[in-house]
Amino acid sequence: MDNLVTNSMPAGAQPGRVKSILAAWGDAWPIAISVIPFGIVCGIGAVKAGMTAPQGIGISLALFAGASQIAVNEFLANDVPWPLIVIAALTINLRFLLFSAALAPQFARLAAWKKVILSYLLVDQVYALGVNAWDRADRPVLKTWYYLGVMFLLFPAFQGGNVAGIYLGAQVPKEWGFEFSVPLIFLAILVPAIKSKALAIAAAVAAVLTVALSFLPYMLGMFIAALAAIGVGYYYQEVAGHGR
Amino acid sequence: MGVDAVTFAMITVLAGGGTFGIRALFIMLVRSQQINPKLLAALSFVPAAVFSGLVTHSLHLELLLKPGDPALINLVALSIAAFVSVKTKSIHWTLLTGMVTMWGLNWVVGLAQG
Repeated sequence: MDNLVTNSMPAGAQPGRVKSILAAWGDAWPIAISVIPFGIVCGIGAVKAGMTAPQGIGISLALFAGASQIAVNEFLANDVPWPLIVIAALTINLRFLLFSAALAPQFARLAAWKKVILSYLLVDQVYALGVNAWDRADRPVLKTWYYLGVMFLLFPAFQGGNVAGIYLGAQVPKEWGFEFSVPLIFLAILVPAIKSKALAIAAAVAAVLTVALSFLPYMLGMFIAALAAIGVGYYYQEVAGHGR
Repeated sequence: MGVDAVTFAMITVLAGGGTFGIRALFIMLVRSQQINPKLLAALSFVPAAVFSGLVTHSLHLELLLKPGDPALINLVALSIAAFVSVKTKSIHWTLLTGMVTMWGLNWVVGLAQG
């Protein structure tokens, strides 16, 4: 599983599995801390939606996607029919299609069973951390082991938070506002990713359109905004020829 | 008690399985590291576009017009955190700054409202 190394690696500087995992842990620990409250919010929501503890744990393991899990909880609590809940969850998770397409070349040579594991573990944070880390010439890592290293922290942090939310959720004061850590993490991931004017334009278009389309249900506006932003950024850089 | 078994099973299997399918689609299908350069160029915009959308969506800026909504406090805290993020490129400092600012502003607003 370790045949994939970062770009721009000098000869003789082969990184090891342990080094790659340790590099991942060094990058991911603050995110792991922040996804605990995200998991707690999901667990609290599951109980409020009427789920038993095994059901709350089961839905979290099945989806492993906080935003859609929160939506499922909300809809269940409001007696929305299950077909609509399924459609909503899948719509919210459509963004993973973009991540999957972007990561596919990196994992192309791996065995199918390894791809299944990596696919299941694909979340926003591991995608962003991976893309940023793999581009670093100063600290080469094995891509797959870095990815797994991140998830060795994030998976138990999120699922542990979910279990804590199910059993202890009522004791966490809402005023602490831990769910605000979610956009902060996304922001901390976004800023280093903006390395050119074209990327900045894409980010701005996505932000403006997400607000403009916020009347659409199930985060559909955000998905459309992201697609439009990719199109605008691509046009600016590749078609209009403004370069990087 | 709990959610009825059929509803839970349908959501778990269809939404869970479907989400896995979405995640796996390209990763499972692409067998070559050679991908169309135009597609690669377009995919390079995915992080900026998606994470910008996620940040904005999480803030619920459309609620800013509602008086007393925490969206304004969150927007201010996020703006300060964004400045720190640009300066430091640090996840730790961005997270810490944003949370402390949000707690501080909520405390001040709470004091002002008595």
